[in-house]
Amino acid sequence: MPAYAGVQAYALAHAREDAGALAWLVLGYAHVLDKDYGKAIDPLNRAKLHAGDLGDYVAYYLGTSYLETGHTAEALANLADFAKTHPDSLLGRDAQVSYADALLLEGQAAEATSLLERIRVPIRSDVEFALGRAYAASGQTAKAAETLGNIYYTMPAATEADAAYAELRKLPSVPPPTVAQLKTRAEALISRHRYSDPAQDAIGLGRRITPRWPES
Amino acid sequence: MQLALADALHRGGRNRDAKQVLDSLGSLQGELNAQRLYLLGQVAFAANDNDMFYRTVDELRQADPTSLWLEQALLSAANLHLVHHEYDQALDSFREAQQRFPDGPRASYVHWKAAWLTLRQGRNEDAKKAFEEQIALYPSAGETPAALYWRARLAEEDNQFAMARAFYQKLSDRYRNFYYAELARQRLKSLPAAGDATTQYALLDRIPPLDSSGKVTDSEPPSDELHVQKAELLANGGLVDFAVRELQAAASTGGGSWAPAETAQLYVETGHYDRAIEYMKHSAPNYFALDIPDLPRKYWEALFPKPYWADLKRSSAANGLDPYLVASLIRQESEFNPVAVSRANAVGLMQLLPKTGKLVAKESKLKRYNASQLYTPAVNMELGTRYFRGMVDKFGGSFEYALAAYNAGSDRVNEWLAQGKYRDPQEFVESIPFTETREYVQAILRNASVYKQLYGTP
Repeated sequence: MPAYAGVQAYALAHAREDAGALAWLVLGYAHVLDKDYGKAIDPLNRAKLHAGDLGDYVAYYLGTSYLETGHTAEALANLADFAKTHPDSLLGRDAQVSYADALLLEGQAAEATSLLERIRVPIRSDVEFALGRAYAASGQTAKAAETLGNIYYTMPAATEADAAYAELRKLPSVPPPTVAQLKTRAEALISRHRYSDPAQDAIGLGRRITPRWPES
Repeated sequence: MQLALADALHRGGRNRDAKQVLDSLGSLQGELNAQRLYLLGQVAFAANDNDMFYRTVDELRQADPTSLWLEQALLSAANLHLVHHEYDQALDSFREAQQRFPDGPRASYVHWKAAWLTLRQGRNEDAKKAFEEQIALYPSAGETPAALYWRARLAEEDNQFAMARAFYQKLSDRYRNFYYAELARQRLKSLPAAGDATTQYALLDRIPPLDSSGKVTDSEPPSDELHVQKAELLANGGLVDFAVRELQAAASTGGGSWAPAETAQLYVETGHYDRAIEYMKHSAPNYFALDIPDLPRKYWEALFPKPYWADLKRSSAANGLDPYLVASLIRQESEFNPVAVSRANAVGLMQLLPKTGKLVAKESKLKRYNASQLYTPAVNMELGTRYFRGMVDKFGGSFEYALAAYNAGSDRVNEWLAQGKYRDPQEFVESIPFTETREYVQAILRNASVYKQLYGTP
């Protein structure tokens, strides 16, 4: 794309300066936004040398790009010392979630679980989702069901809600939701003016608790 | 629980299912029964089954006359009567709601609607009492400026100029940049000269003074703070959202009034005027009550920006329009987002429908016009101002009628104008039955006045 080419030309022309590093970061991030992670890796690697105060952005998006392209070893290497190197970064928790995801892919579910449990508070849906998957991968089905169910029923507007439900369905045995859980989910969605999901849920719940509930 | 789910079904558009559930519940006790009846009424309302709706309201009145569900149902009943031009019945419903629930969440609103309908019916003596009662009972509510203004107008009609002056002055001082404050200042200019003494009105003392916590003094961001430095770097790269997060992090640790203005500035510099306006509205929600010096200039300039100004001025001048009124209209329509598209497919700064754009482009003999040009600010404003000028001319030069028509359509405005006589366009505006359109017209006229105060002669 012409816009990308322009940024790249600028970055090449200022390769030894902070401005060049910023341009590489901008280009790498643009590819991340396009979900074209493979193309993000080179510019982000080039941005590393002169990243300066923006080193946390470069490290995080480079690590994430490696993770998304299946280069988990490189992802782990880029994200391992993030907290020590960038203690004031606003991306600290995001970096730890990505690091835990990479650990999971490397089969280190116990380490991922341990890491995510340490950063669980204040509660965040992406951390909960990663933790739920880590529990599931380490065979802790009850904890996985509780964690993933917590997203779907108490944080139904979260971007991870539907994926959490899909993960829940993969678990070998999950107890059916309680009326209280369904009520919490319905109320949370209604408060955000999302009516069709709770209406759909209502049909299912209604059949369970009201013999004369209408057929859909 | 089942009631909540029936509510979800109703709101999800499945009224038949909702009714079946509600019917299956039979008669409940207390508040639950009141809620069931209210929901049954809403289901009937949605199905245009007016007889059933009114019967349900009657049943609710009998079953639980103190439930707040009845207040809501009475408000719905009043609105339904208004839709059918049954003004006496609407007045009765508003009054009943206010009298049964004088401290209810909608008490001030229903009282105002009853007072206004009283004025519209020409019962000025009753209206005066109702306006004064409005101020006395609900002095902190949003309807007070309107009550002050219209009570003053009736005082003028009675030649009680001292009273009118006192009420207008209160409006101007206390509600600085509200729609009615600007109208009050205009009325003050035309009032006969004041007598020796200023008359005091105890009623006006009931209006609480403005909460001075809304005032903000200017300050500079701490340039040595890491998050501020990162924000500058990120902004240089156009990574605005990251820059904003860094600024907010700096503000959360260091405090200071600089953060909203700096954040808005970031948005403005990258052409996101709409986000700057929204951010500032959130940061200074009370800004209409404040005088210009009570907020830093940067705040006001972010709230009332002048983008695309050369084109805006040219298009306005070509159509004999005040550029500040046009800026205010654009602010209301799109918040200066040139690629805004509404649910009705209205496009660009002035939110023109493609068919309107095509029609006006043909009228103005615009060569090689195509609909995608509506996203170009200069073209959108050229066509939009011409279209708005047409509205103004159609309604005899009245900007109030033209703005209402721009929002709700000419046919509706003609219909509303045919519904009765109005003293002046201001009475028409307050009588607009669509809340959205009424507030739209008032907001644009109010904002044009703020633009003038901020920037002077265009």
